[in-house]
Amino acid sequence: METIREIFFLPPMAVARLGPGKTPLESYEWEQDVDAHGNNQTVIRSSVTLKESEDGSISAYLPDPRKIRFRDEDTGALRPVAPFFELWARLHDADSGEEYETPITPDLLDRHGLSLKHVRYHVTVGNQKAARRTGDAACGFRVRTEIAGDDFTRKPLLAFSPHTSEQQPLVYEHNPIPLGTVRAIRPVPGACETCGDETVDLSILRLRFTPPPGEVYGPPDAAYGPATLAVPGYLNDPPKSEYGRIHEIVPPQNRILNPDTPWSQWIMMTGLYDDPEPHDSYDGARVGNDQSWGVVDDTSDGTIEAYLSVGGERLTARARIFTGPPDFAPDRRPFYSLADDLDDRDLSLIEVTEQTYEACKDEVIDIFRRAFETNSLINLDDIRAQGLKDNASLQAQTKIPPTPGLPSTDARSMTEEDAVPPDKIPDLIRPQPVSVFSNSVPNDRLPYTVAVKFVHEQLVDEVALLDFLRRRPDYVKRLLRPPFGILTQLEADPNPDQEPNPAFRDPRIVRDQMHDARMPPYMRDSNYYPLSLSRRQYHLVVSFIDYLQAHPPAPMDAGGQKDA
Amino acid sequence: MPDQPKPIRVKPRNLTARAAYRVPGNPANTRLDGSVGNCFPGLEMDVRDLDRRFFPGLVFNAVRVPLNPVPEAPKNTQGFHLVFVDYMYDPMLPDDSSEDWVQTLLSAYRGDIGTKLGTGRWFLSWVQQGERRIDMHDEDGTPYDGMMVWRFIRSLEAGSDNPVSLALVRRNHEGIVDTEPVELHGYRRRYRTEAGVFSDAYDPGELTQSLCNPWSHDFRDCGCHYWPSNHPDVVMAETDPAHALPTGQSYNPIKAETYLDWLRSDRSPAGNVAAFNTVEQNRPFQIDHYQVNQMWSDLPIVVEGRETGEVYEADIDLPDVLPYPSTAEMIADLRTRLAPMEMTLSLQYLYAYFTLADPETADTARWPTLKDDLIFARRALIEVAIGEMTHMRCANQLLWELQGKDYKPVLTPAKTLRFGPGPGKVYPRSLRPLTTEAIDDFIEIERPGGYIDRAYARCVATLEQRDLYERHLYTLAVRIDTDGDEHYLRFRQMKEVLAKYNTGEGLPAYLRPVEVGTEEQARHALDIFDNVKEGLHDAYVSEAGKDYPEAQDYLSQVRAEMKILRDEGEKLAADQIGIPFWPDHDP
Repeated sequence: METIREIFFLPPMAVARLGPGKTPLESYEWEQDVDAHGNNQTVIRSSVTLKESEDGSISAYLPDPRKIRFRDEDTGALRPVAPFFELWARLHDADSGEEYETPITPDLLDRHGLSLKHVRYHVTVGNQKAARRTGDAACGFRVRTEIAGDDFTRKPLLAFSPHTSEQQPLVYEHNPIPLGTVRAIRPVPGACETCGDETVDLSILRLRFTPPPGEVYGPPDAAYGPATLAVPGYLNDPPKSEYGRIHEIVPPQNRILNPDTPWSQWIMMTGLYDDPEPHDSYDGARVGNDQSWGVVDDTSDGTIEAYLSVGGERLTARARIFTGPPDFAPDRRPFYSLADDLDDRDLSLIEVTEQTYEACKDEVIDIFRRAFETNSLINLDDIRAQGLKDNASLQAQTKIPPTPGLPSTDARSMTEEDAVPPDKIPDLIRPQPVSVFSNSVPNDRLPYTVAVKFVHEQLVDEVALLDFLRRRPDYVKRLLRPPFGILTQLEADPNPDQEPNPAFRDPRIVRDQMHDARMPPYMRDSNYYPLSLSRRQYHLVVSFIDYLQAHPPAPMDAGGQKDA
Repeated sequence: MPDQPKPIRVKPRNLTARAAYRVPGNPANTRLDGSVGNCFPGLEMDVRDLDRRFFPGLVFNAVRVPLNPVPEAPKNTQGFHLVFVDYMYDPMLPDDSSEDWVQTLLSAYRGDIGTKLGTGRWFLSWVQQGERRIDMHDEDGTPYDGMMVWRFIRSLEAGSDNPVSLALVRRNHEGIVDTEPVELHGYRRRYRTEAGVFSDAYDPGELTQSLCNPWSHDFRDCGCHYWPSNHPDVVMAETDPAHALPTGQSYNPIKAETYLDWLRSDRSPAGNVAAFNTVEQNRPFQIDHYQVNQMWSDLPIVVEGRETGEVYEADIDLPDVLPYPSTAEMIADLRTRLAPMEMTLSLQYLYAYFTLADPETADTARWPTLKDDLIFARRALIEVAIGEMTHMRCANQLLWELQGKDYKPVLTPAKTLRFGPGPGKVYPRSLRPLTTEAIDDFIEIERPGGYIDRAYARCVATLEQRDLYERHLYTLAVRIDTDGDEHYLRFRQMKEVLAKYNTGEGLPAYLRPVEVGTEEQARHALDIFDNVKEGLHDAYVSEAGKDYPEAQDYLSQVRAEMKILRDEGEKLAADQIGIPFWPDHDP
């Protein structure tokens, strides 16, 4: 005898990605390239893909593992990323007293005297961007749809603006904005398909969210406008008469929004609204009087819910869906991902012990691999110049002296003259004068970009990285920018020009707001301060280094050869 | 016919395990570990929107100091602004909770405090966790900017042993606090449930509400290049697989070594020029705001750092490479041929480096491009030379990992080099200037599919055998093999760039007259070089013996000596003397 204790979705949260193509992107996974010329890099290889049939069921297949088609064959349109959500249950087995998790299938429902008719889905997604800026709920738009468990037709998510009789809706009900589609997948009882090493159970209850194409919408006059000439982050824009090039803002067929809403009147940074930051993040910013063109997009976030009625009780499963931009570099991963940020907020720090060593080692190696992947596509020369210019502004305001023992924050940063010179880079970029700007020449326009890739490339290999961490523990620790402290670590009332704590940063201390060559150099975090690893990642790397130091391997161990 | 599925039974998973589950059919970038977390404001969601509901029942906006306040705007609008009290469906505040703190908060929200907070502009005044209370204003009472306050809120910890207290104050139109503060006590929200989903407190649309509107506005440009893993800054051009090296790089060295601005608006060959080193220089040639609203889907997908067309195809590696018949044979090859060869190559390249003229003395009247080309050539050559030194270390490391106690450092340069197609031919080692002939030989040495390349591919094929070797070892051989392609391209790029200086009359302008000196002439440099070799020997022995601190001490000395050697080499070259790295060279 077993009872259903909980139902839930896997994945609990997923990102759909915009694309005008008709066919969703086939599935792929990250792998380490093991070819002789593969550079040990992370690569993408096709994985088991599910294809929807007309009747709402799916079939599984394994595409050519070494080919991935990103665009439709006939039109060349970029393919959307449309995730599946599987519905699972946690069951209690009364005979054994154990609990286990299993996907929900018609057979499982049948065992509990249930059927698809006892299942119902609710999907609600919304776009609140204009509402957030204007403070007017009628400038948001959302859609909620309910799907019976045995209804396998695709449901369009047509959103419009909720409003009261005194409000002007931004999106009219008769001209809604499509935010994608959702479909309950028809389970095929007792069916599964084997693709390579993987078997896919086709009887699992699934939902698929397919994002919209990625259109912009606006009121009728959002037709053509001059683009800004201003560079973001600069305080004083060029004179208003110096308009930039003129482009179409919204295509004619999408000029369907109400022109008489606060969103078409909105102007940033007036003190009348709670502007989100960055504030100049809308079409119309930094041209003329900064007035909004009233433009919105078709991204959204929301909830996917499943309800199952069992014995007169309602069980609920919830998942979150986000529609975001395409991932234009699918084989390159962020070293500070959304998952890292969420873990940093909600989970405790990781202690490196004999029991956790292998898992910690894998995670540390992965952080360094991801650091390389990110910096392999960065224009370091450019962001170094931007970061050092920001430093100069802050320095001019605060006039704090250099902090002994910390890297330079002026034009000496990441040069031979840096107070803490970086490894190898000065050798590779010579001659580099003390300057905010890199010494860029034809055929070598981005010397820092080339050099940092060269240096980080060596650290994607486990053996090279571990040797490096063992040989230079203090150097690596000094090379990492510390994260901001937790509240209980911070002083009550620090002096802004006091020396920073080496273990954590405080946003009130000026030096902690400044860029330098510490890793990751010159990148920015969520409030425009210099970026660090998350506190959890930083603690892991430092603890791992400490563990390596405290546990040196046995001398002269010919460890590489298994038959030695 | 489909198979019958076997029932799946999984032990109950925690939040992390559920989030990590790989759902068949979903590409990797549907997961949150493929999405950027440092948000300003972000791409898939703005994590800062989580913090607006950090305290149960309250909803805040982080507000900055307005840049252009209008006359009618209230004063002191910055800080953590209370948008509204929202307690009724807050999952942290169930109506029937047995927790005292929950009932106390609910009473407050339902009663006078809720009424009070419903009128006027309320802001966070201080927040406290443990013994630490942080005031949200500076010394003179000026409220902190909302972004600063957000940073403090982000620094709060969750959990039943981490209670949070806070105070709210009301500011009137003039920005003056005009009533007694309201103090509340509770806990920071745990943003994800045990099922790994965001708290139900967040409404649909709330977690993306502060992203750019439209999203493409931010995608066009942002003050910070902080998400190249999704939106590359610089890339290499698309490569025709028929004209690609085994690494997938273009056979054309200029194409393979030129970073393009991924956001360039002219995507024809006319627009495929090198990206610049500042945003101001790149910007005029990039896709504009508004234009990006339609053009974003034409931006190319970038894989392995290169733009790709409709389909990405993985590179095909060298065919017909067989493993060594035995470990002993591979060790012998590494000891007697490959490691010594790396030493010879690094010294040949270093010698050639010193023969390049000093950019500061370049005759720029006669050769306007010479100074820049010398800077390029010197950087490219030193990168290759450092690369070869790294390979020498990798080859030694392979040996110490495989040989254990029997390992002895290999730091003797090979007297001959074998290179060229197939089995290759044997050539004497040679210290010579970077002439066209020398570059041609260096190209042949590094040519993919050539003798050396295939030798390391054999090491990879051997070490890939998981039943025989620890998995991490093959990466050392892969590193050498992959770098070979890069060195090959670099030398071909140097050849193209420097060709114009070969006028057929005397020494090309990019070279300085350097000849191999005598031991006496280069005594100081050779002493330094001996120190380098000795230091490397000791470092490798220490590292093979797992004495990492000692190894690093030696390597630090080597680094310092190499710096002196580079300066000494420059001085000697200025006097037309090349360092005789091996004694058997005829001056």
